[in-house]
Amino acid sequence: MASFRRPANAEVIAKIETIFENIADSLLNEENPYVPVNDIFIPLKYKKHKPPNGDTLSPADAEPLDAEHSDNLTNVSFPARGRPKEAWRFAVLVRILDLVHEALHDNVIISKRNIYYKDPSLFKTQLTVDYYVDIIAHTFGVSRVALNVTAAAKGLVAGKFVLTRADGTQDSREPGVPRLIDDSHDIQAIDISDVAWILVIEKESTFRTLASSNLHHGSRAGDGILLTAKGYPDFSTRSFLRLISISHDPDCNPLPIYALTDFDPDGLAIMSTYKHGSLKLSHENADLKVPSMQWLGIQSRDVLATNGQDGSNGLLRLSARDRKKATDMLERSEGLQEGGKEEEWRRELQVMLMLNVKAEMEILAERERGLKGWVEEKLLEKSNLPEDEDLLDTHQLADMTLGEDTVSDLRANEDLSLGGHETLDMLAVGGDSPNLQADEDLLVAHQMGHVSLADEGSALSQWDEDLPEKHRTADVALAEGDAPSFEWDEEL
Amino acid sequence: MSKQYLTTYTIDHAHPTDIFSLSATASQILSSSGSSSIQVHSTNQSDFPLFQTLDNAHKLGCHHTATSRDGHVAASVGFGGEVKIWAAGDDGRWAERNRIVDGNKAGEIWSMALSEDGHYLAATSFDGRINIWDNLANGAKIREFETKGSFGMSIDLACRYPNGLVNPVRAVAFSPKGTLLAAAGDSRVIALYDVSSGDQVATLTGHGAWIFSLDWSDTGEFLLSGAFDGKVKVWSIEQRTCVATHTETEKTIWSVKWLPKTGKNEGFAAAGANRSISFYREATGG
Repeated sequence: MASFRRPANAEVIAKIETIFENIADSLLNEENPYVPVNDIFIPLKYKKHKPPNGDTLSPADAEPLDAEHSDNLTNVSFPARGRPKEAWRFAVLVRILDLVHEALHDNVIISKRNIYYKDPSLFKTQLTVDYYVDIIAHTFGVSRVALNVTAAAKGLVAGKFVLTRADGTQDSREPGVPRLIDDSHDIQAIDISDVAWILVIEKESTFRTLASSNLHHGSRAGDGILLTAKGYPDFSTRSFLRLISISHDPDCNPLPIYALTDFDPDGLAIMSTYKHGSLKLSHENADLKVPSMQWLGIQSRDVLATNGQDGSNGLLRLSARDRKKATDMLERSEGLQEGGKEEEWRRELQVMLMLNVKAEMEILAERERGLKGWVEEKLLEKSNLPEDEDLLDTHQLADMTLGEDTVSDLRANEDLSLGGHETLDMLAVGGDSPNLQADEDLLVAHQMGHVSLADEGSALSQWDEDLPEKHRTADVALAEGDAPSFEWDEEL
Repeated sequence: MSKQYLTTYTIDHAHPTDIFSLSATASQILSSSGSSSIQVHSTNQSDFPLFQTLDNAHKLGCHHTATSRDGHVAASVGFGGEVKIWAAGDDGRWAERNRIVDGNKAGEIWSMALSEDGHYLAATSFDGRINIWDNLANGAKIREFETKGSFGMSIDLACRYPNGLVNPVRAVAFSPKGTLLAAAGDSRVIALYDVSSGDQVATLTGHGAWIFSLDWSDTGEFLLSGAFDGKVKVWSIEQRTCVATHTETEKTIWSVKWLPKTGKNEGFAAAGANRSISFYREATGG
């Protein structure tokens, strides 16, 4: 079939719900003589010859019909008497489907890593998640992206800091090439004593411009850390930023965290997601919020200041969608209500609507001092320090090791939203003895390898390229009705 | 020849946020802002006391208000898109009379004008349509006009779309006799059009920033303008020049309004981002 269409969220949601409805029906019809035994199952489609591509980006890869003859259709049943591993697989699938369903429903992006950490004792290794996510995508005939699942964190970070990992190893980051954001689950502590500020940037292009102009290293505003999630932030970027935001000596002032966004409703919404959590999920993401975040720009006074003096001011008109978005935010966002926490934001949204204008950060590049010069000015202005003072001296910050409590709190909270299938999980996992510690070490080792691959992109692709090999092994194993996880564990 | 206007009074922090709109009757000034309440101050007393607060009029803030010339009807529209029609009682107090519900989406009604007796409401929409509602017939929409689809940011009744200004037009106003139309906006000049011919008959230059608000004096002799840079100007129509400039603030002036004459002197009010309402009176001289 030549025409490939990426299904809307609703289509995938419907497919997942159909599976769950069938399971529910089977449970209700247990007494029904027409329903055969072992009718509680999840239908899966395995690829037999083509190994599943870890990152199904091209339409052809996700096109299921062509490959149908080479597909293996299997039902993963429950309780599957005499095959305890199948019960575990069933539980894994239910859990992943539930998480994917939630992500699609709330329209948030989750990484495979997020899924793993929702229930490490069930999944046992990261590869379990990677494998079944791809199988599910293949079964539905969609790309993994259509499940709202990403391979890894999408965020980028640049700056000088030292990571202490869960196993005690340290990883020192120099302010060179930007790299993918580290998984906060693997981080025990972050030493940010070499920097004076943190700047969160809405867009990757602006991030790259500022990083390559060394704003974060040796600029007039002192050294800092630059970070971007390339648009609306994902869990990984938010939890990494959150970790940074609490990584300061209790005796010192926390490092200022600034946001640089477009002057438009989306810019405000993105900043709001970092600061207050997403509109829909704000109650669930308490431990991902960074309430100390300050708006560096760009605000109406930044872009409108010169209007009237020069004709070409680079301002854009609001689209109908922008106006609707702004109104929706004013209507629904808690902080934007009258007397709420973000009166300045409320005012800026109202001014956007009044003037019917918006502006992108690129507008600053045309200013006399350029983008970097403008951001430097703003950072200095915000820090209230004269330009010649040494910022590092005044912001002496000691390293601080995060207590176990903090880390486990972060994890515990991520688990809060789950719990719906606990009984099933316990049932299914009961027979196994999850060697959690060993598996975690394994993953840390993997992560190290992953991280040492230096800059963004390559790490990601390397990680994914490794997978098909494992999958191929696993495919065979599965076809024989055996559990894949043992082979993987041993192999690793 | 210049004229002198003195600041007679300033209501500091009349609203907690930017004041977006002023409307006047014979004895009152109505102000609306980014906050939910509309304030009504008396203009016939020297200290401009607060007369009434219309609490929770518009939850998301109120960007435009309008009053009928006879002073009996007022209209207000909020950022959420809701439009309320207010009627003044014999004691001068305002009460909500009805709403324009027409499945209005936000921006469907942006800028408004009321007919002299408040019977009709004309409004521009975000996509440049102009609609007219009959306020007495339960707010039914009676006319729709399509325009070229620019965002309509200002309206005056009997509107005719001005040509000649390239940049967004943010304010339009008809002279009292309806012979001239003034239009201004991002081009920083005020264009005067002859309504009968549609020709541009004058250009008033002098503002250095976007112009957000225009208002004609009762006699049509003077035009008042307020701009982004906080400057308020009075223009003589006969001389086609600026006769007075006020710079009380560097913050945006969102709205300017002439007040009814008391004695021989004309006065006006200006308000905006500094959240205060300033009142000016013509200096009597000697």
